[in-house]
Amino acid sequence: MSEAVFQTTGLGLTYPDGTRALSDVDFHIKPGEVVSVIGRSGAGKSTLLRCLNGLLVPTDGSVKFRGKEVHSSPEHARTVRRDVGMIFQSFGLVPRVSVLNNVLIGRAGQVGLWRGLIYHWTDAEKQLALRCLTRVEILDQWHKRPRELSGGQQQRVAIARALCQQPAVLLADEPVSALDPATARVVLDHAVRICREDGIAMIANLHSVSLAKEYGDRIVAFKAGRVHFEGLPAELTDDVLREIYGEHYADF
Amino acid sequence: MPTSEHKPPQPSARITPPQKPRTLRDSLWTGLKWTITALFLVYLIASFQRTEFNFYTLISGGKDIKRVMYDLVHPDLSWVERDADGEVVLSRKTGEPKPGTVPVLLDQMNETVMMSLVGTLLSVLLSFPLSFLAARNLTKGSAAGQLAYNSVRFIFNVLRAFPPIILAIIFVFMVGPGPFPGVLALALHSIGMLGKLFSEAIESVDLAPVEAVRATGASNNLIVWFGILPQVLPQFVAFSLYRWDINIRMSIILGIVGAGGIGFLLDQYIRLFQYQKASTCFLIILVAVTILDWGSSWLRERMG
Ligand SMILES: Nc1ncnc2c1ncn2[C@@H]1O[C@H](COP(=O)(O)OP(=O)(O)OP(=O)(O)O)[C@@H](O)[C@H]1O
Ligand SMILES: [Mg+2]
Repeated sequence: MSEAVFQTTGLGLTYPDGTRALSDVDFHIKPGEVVSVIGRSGAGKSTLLRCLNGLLVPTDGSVKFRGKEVHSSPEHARTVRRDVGMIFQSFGLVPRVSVLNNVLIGRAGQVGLWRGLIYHWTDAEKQLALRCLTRVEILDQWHKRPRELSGGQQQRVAIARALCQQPAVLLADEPVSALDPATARVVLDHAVRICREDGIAMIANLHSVSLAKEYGDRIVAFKAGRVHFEGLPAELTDDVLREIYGEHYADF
Repeated sequence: MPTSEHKPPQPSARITPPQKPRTLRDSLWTGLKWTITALFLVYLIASFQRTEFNFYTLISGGKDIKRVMYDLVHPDLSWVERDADGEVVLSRKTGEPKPGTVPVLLDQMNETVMMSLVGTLLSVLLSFPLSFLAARNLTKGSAAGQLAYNSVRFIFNVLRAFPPIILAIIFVFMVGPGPFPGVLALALHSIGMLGKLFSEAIESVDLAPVEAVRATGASNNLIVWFGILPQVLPQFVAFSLYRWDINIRMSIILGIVGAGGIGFLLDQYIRLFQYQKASTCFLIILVAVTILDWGSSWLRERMG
């Protein structure tokens, strides 16, 4: 395989208030790979994703995107973000803006200031956005406002927005935690299928171990800010899970 | 597992909550509260004396009360000016009849509305960009941001501290009487007011969409434009319309200190004891403000 999309070495992050969220994290993801990240609440999963796309500046170690240090400058971190799509637990759609324009906002990193200010999109951009909406099967809702959609539909729009960036990686921070189990599968199916079709690498923070095993090529488990386990879904045994989640793991 | 020993409390049993701990600070605070209340009451009584509040004066009125009352209910509704014999007065220059009280006042009322419009528009245009600098959530984290936040906040506070009428008096001295000083006074005071409201709206936005737009690699300007503006725009429009509403009333009063509009004539009529004309003023103000009130609340409802 070619070089890693993301590669961290000795990554550490301490928040300004002194909370140590990540220590000594060596993590990588290859092009087209789907990695599930699991770990208890507060283990540092969200912090990892934010370090990868440069929203947080690590306090130790390095984060490389396609071989180049993400944090070499704030400008470079911004160019990295253009190639990195992200979806969130709370969807993060902009209220009162139509679904189509929300998807087009995925191009915000690529358009110049003036074009952005007047919401002027080229025909190619509009076609791309419509294609993204089609791929998550929500084209018929293009004119609605986010609050007129269900949670599952909103997350599909958020996926379309991330795809509209034509990213190399998709970061998903608990993308289905706010959804019922059936809808969760629909949403993950869409995201993972499209990533596989387009060769987009995907890192998904998941609270459901079964979903993590089912969708991930590889699993990385965090415990108290450190990588505690890394391997294939089959290697994630109940013993390991007990180490990660504590003795009561069997209860759920 | 729930144990069988755990019984719910009997309905008849009285519950005495544990004593709330009382510290020295609590006692001092209670003492202070009573002292402040007592002082305030004394000040309140002194205020009634100082303002010569008296029902008898209100009912009996001054000596001119009958004439004033008569004039006030007989507004001067003339469309052309007439002399003592009832002849139409012609303008020396044009030979046309001179306009009467009604057209003159309508023209001045129009000027008042126009003043409020220009003053409000200027304040919206200026406070809009400034309010982003005065929003805590956008400026924290960098020294330059802190500086911008503190200085713009300070400017807003200072502008708000001056009542428009004081600003108008200053500007009438500076640029002479007329609507222009009135517009300046309205604009400056409104910048302080709107700036505060706008920046508070920005501070209360949902940060999730902002974070999502940031994650697309957008520049700071576009993050604000795409992530924040759609969230605050309806509030901005509502605040601006409301401000215009207030400014219409305010610009009537500004005329009294020479800053243009109908207030200027109202003041003159009262000084010259022309109460019939003053009554026309009141009538026109009442009608105009009512109509504009309806208009702006209709607009605001449609925006919400
Ligand atoms: N902005 C912040 N300031 C200070 N501490 C923070 C901040 N954000 C997160 N933390 C702390 O950092 C640690 C890791 O948090 P993080 O959000 O990465 O965990 P997580 O694995 O994503 O948890 P969850 O599953 O609940 O989302 C936690 O102890 C958390 O309290
Ligand atoms: Mg998290």
